[in-house]
Amino acid sequence: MSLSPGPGSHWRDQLGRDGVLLVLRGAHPASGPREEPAAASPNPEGHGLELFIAVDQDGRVTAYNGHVDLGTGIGTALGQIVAEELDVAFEQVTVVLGHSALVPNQGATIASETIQVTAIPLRRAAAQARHHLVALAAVELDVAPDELEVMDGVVRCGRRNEQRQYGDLLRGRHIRLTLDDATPVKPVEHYRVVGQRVPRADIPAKADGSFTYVHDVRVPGMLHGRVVRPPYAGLDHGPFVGRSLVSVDQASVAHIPGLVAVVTLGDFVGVVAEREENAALAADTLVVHWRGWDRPPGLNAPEGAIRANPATARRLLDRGDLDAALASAATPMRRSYVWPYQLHGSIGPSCAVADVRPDGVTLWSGTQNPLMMRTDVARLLGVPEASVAVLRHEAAGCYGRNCADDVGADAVLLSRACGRPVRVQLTRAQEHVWEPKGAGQVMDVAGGLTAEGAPAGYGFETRYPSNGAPTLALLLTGIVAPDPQVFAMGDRTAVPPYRYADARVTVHDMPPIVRASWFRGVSALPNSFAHESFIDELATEAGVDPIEYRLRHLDDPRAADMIRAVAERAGWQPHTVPQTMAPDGDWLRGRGFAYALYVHGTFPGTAAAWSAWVADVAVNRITGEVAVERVVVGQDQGAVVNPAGVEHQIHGNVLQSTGRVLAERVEFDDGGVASRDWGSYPILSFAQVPAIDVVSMPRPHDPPLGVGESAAVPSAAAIANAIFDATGIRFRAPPFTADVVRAALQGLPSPVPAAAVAAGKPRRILPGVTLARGLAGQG
Amino acid sequence: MVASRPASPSHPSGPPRPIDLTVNGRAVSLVLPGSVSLLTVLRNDLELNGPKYGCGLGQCGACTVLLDGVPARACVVPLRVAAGRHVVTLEGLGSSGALHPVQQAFVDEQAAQCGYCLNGMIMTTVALLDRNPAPDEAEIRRELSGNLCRCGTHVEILRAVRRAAALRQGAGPESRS
Repeated sequence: MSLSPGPGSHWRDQLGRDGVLLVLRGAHPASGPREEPAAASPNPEGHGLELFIAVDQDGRVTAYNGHVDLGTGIGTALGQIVAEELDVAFEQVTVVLGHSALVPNQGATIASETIQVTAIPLRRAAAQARHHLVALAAVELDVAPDELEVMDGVVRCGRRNEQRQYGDLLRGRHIRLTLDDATPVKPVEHYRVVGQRVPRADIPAKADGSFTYVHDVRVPGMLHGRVVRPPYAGLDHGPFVGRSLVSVDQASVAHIPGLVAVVTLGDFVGVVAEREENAALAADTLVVHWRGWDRPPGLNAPEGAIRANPATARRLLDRGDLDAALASAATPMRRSYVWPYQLHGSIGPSCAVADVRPDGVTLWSGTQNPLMMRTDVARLLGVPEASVAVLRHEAAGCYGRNCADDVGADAVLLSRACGRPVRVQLTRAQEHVWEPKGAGQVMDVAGGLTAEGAPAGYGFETRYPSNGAPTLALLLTGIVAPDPQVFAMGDRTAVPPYRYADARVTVHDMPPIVRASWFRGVSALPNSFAHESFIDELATEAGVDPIEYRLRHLDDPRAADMIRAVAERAGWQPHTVPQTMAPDGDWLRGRGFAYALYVHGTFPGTAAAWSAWVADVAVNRITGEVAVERVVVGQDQGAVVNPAGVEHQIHGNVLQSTGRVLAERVEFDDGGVASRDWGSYPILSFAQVPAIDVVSMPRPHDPPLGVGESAAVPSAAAIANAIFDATGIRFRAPPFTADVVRAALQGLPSPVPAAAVAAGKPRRILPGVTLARGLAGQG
Repeated sequence: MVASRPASPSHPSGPPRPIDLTVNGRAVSLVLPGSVSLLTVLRNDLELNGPKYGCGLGQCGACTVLLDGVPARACVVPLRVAAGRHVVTLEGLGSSGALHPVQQAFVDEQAAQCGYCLNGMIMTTVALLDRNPAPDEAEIRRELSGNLCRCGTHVEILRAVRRAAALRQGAGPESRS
């Protein structure tokens, strides 16, 4: 199988040619609600027809999918699906992803949806092509279609001992099929390629340096650009955005060799030079004068600022009589949970190359959504979308919305100013400061126990200050007003999975405080952290084993099967109190459990895979250091296209989320985001890698579900519950750094008065506040 | 507001003297200021895409090359420091169809997700195994701990290093190009 950002010619050139079979559909209807990034982008000009499958007379198969590869190897899995349904060799398939003019309009690549959602029409199209080719062969061979078998693109009739190759059948013919969603697909029992551990097609070229990331794109005459960002570090709304530049001192960079241009437009500032190091030097040297701006509230303790952020309450669930249930609870329990701001943290800062010419714009980009990117470019330049081509290349993994689109827009502005192709590379500090953060989040739970130890109602409220992070250049140039937009994305997995008879779930929809957008697990990871921490407390309070307690209150049999399988693999020892595991010197040992079914998309949403964790931790009673030593992680993802790929994604999500939970927190100062390098924002290192044991539930007959991201969702609660098991202390505000844990173990007082936090003063150190509440909440 | 200006002469104080070094076994002579980072020269002047820009601070390891056999962060090595030395990049280890055993081990173990850090992981492993053909688990982790991976490919990378050690021992201790 091969991967291609697009063949040299447009597939529409094939519309008039012989020797080809195409499976097409009319353009996808325009977008869903504005706030839903999963929806197809609006106004897809030039998309009168969309192509899914092309088979040509040389037997080549080209598959087109609107999603992109964000570093997960998704192209390989799509190639397997196509090879399977068409009965061609895997090697015959080329998968085209992310070329804005070539691929179907299928929206942003988010929420692990490619296999679960966007592969469905591709699978049907491949099956439809096969049915048609077999019917052609049946006519030529004068046999019934059911007498024919297909292997590697060769149609055989055993009885007549005759065969036709797909390519032969297409010679002299031009066939266009309209995608039929009712086309039957292959029964699972006949699978030969799907379900196999097929090696990823992209890795050999990545290992020998021949792969072309967007960072590696070079076009003739290309110049190098750098941007100078405003001093309101990471803020993207407020009246000062786009209106703070006073002046740039051109003379300050006049001495720099090969300088081509200094470009300003509103608060957008960029420099262009013949050589990259000189562009970087110019960006560092350029003297720029800015006005003052409104300082953001302190976010090192985000709870106060998030609670104070204007919001609209949206009721997601109201079942039974929560107030009565809480009033009659034998043991009322109210808990609050606080999630920190975190970085997507792409290892490669974003990069793009743009070539703006009078007759059209070409943008080489690492975007999550080539069609949205095209819309942004058209808007920025005031040109028709049809004149913009976005060629998507792989970038460093993004895990959500990073600066990939921002840098594309930057490159477009600089290329327009110079009349030549310009490559723009963001610096590490720019990516850290300006990437739309994974938002801080605050969750409040009101519940408790009945006299019998059952849950006494469940009130859940969540606050998620995040949106779609409008592309920065649109804001800096004033083309998009810097008003705080509200996206309704705090509701992911906000409804708890347990059978709480009296329940009320409310999301407080709110704009961002600092620039923030979706990051792996979106709001579901923090929401599940609260759900799964709270039920763990209920179990302890009720004197019941934490897994047993969950199973008593869970109606979903697939969840229960998976939970039991994970508990068994982990060797779970039922227990009703913490600290039953023997310590090892200064290291206290504990084991925690958490479960989640990741529900994403517009409420009530779509469920991805089920997942559960058993985490084993060691906590140093002197230093407070937490080591996650082993994770047994279960996932029920339905049918599996590539078991190696699924396992790989689970590993990745376990490790990334473990790092987030143990150490990751964006630091702020009164200028905004203060984490500017890896020294101030440590991510998981090899020294911290736990043993991972994957329990994959065998469900070959069920539809495939989004994988990987689901496996991150139980992480925080499983680790927090394990730390409780080791120490007897509940931690309700990640990250669980050594200083946070040590302070709690030593019973140190909170270093920050709660009032200061609530007032949103820019103070450091949140954890003590939450800890103090956590300890108090134990009684 | 756009201020364009004619390109100034590249080197106003007169052309610098050529800097000579060996890159992937080939002699290279560059007329560039010695302060330019080796990474910039490798990527932009020699069009070697293996080493990647990750941080520019020597923190992440994505730009790692071998400088006289020692792993070095090309983003913080000025060109003048590489003068007269042997530089090996990912491209210089092997070639398609004839991968270096460490590259082969990373392919065999599928030790990449986005793969942006892969260059650094492979180059660091090559240097490690040259120094110690049979490192234990603790040494492997210690050696790689300065290389950051955000996708969480650590499990596969560790497997690849162990496999590379085995492959390399099978192929003889001096297999590196």
